[in-house]
Amino acid sequence: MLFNSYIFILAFLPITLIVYFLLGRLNQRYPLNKIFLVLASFVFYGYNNPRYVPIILCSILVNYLLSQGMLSLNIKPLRILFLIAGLVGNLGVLFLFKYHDFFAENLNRALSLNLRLNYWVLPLGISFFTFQQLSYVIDSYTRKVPRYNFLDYALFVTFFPQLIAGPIVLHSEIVPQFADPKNRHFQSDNFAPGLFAFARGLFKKVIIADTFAVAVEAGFLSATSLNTAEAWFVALGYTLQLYFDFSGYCDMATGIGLMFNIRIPINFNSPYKSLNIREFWQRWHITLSRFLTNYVYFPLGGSRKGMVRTCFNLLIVFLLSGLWHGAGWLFMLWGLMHGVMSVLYRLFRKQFDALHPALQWLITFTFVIIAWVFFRAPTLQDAMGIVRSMFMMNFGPLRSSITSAFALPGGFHPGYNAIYMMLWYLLAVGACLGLPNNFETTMSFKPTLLNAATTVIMLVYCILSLSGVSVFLYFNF
Amino acid sequence: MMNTKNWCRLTVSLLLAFIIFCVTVVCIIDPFQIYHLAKWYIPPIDKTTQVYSNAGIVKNYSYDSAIVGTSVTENFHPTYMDTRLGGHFIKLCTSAGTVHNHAVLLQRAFDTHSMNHIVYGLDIYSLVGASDKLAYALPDYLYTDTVLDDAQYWFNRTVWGSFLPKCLKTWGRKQEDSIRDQMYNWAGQDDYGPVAMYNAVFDTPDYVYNPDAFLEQARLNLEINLLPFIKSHPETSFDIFFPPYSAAEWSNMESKGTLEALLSLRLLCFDVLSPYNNVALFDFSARDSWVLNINNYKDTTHYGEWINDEITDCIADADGSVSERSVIECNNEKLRSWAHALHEAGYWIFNLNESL
Repeated sequence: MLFNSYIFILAFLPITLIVYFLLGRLNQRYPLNKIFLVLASFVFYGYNNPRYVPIILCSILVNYLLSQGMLSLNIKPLRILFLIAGLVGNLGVLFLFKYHDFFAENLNRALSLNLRLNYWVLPLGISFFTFQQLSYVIDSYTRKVPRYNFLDYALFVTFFPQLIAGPIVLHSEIVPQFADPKNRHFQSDNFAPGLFAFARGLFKKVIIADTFAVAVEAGFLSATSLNTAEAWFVALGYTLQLYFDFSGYCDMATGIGLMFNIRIPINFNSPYKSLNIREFWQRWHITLSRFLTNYVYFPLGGSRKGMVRTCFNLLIVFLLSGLWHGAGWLFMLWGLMHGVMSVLYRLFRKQFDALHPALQWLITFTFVIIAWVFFRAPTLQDAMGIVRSMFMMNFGPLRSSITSAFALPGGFHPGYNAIYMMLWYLLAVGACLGLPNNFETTMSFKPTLLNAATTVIMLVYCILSLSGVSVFLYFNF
Repeated sequence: MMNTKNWCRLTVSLLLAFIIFCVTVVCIIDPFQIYHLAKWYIPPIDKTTQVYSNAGIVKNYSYDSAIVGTSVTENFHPTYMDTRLGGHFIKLCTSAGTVHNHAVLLQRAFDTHSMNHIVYGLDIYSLVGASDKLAYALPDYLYTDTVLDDAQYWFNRTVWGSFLPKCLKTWGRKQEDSIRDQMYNWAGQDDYGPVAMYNAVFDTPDYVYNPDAFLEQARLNLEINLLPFIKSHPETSFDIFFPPYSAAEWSNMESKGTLEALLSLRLLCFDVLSPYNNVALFDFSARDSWVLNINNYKDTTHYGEWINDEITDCIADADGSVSERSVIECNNEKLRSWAHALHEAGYWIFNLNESL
């Protein structure tokens, strides 16, 4: 189930909230509300494809048992064995579903083998819940975690706001909040900013990201024939689409979490305001960066083993980050680009930081835009086509397939679409750079009439934008 | 500044009011007639929203007979069919539709009405393709009785931005019975004859046929998308006809190399459909007074509405019905010879009657 669907907004969310708090109030002795929330989360997860519910269920059971084993046993070899089983099990499942076909295809091509491809559909959110549980398994080995009961653990993994697209929360951030008795009850002080954040997130996703998506889709379909202006608009459009899409989703997750009195950690902190690549990764997908730093970069030695080793570690982390985002060479290339940029920043940090902040920002933002082209393009040829066009200085008219994405309803002359498009880009970039971060706005929420009005207007506009009539014109019979 | 409790009350109340308002308005002014027939306004029924309008037409109009098919059935006059064939006809047409499109409408018709008579235009091109292939994405939410699905209709931006205002503009007017004739009718919109056909850009599907696989797919289509209705409704008469494409269309098939496969398909249809007592098959494909007269056509397949009325007369008089396989074979031979002649001539824009 998606946050931006009628079934979620009009049925699942209100029903789940009402029943959760009713159960919290009715019965103080038994955690019926938590049991209900776990079950509801499974419904949320399996709504579109119930076949994958057993996978997440098994994953939770096995990881919980392994963690309990490591927390209970004092025999080190056994604990190491459990840790290895946890690492191999989690990464193995992730590999089978997400990476097997990619590696098999490449091995078949490179070594003329005939490895069978699975063509399995990726279970929703497998990268997120696998990493989340990996953190718990590793922390259980090092005994940094308290012993949770199974229900709390299951809720930590399945809590539906963060189940499908993150943030990658840590057990220590979530479980204690569910254990807090006062969170069993409805709290308007949390619900109000939660609804406010949800509305803003939905608006970012449905109205802003999905509008840019149409133009970007049209642009990437003509990747090798764009002129310079079009190439920049397409690349910048994707930069904006991805940010508003993903951060919108995280805002919704934060908002829904708050409605349930649960504070989900910040995942996007106005990343396009960053002045250098290091800062960008401290602001973009913060919980993934945190995971990779804590569980890959630091164990590899971090920055404590000399400059060469630090640079190597950085490259490894970013390659893994690329691979985590998707099984494909272009994702790895995107990760490598960020890795190289991070290494360069580390090597020439003094010189870079001495530049004027505007120039620092321009270099960083331009690099991020170009790197996203490789992240999005279906083929290297398409990506190179767009990047080449961006610097060919071959200007021309903007094609209507791109500008029409920004057309106003009401049948205005299509000639105006290019002007609306410029306005959209200006406003979107302005919002990324000039507005305060949504997470901060939510946390400093004030219950004013203006906030009530904007919340209602945004929700109404989004709900009315979720579906339309696809008018077809069968011109020729 | 209000406190958060009041803020929540206000915001949630406004949202609830919005939801109730949307649902109430769409249930009352129902552009696609999903909940009731439009009695105080004229609903938007045209080709651009056909799969949407059809959902309400099939569910809520009063009828016991239907004309089903693609654009070549859209110019039938149900009121005329009532007088010639008996019953109360409605159009259940989908421009360029596949047999699966027709099956969806037939299923809804049989679910919601007691059907006496189906006149089915068996466009051979609609049999090509997968058995679940739809010409256009169907708004499933309008074709089910699940209320939860209707959210996509209640909160639909096009419904609110375009169709509700259209309905309101016609507020106070009543749908006449003639709507049955007018719906989807494209008569009068085009010219007919050599110039029109020369300018026509319509191009029928250009498939590369593997004859065996193709015939098997067509058989599957008939078995899945048409036969179940014939078998499970022996009380309903099915008058199934091959539409009279112009001879030029068969020449086109010859040029594309699809002629023999499509002629075999006609025989297959006869073999599959003729054993059923409630089916009458009509073949108008080789009726020379129609298909060799270029003035009947706006392009190679679409004929004028007078032909639709004549088809109605033929069905009423059982003129053109086929009870023997040899009739189809004989007609195929005619079509083959015309196609060859036109193909050999190297052109087809001339008055076919005079040339052949």
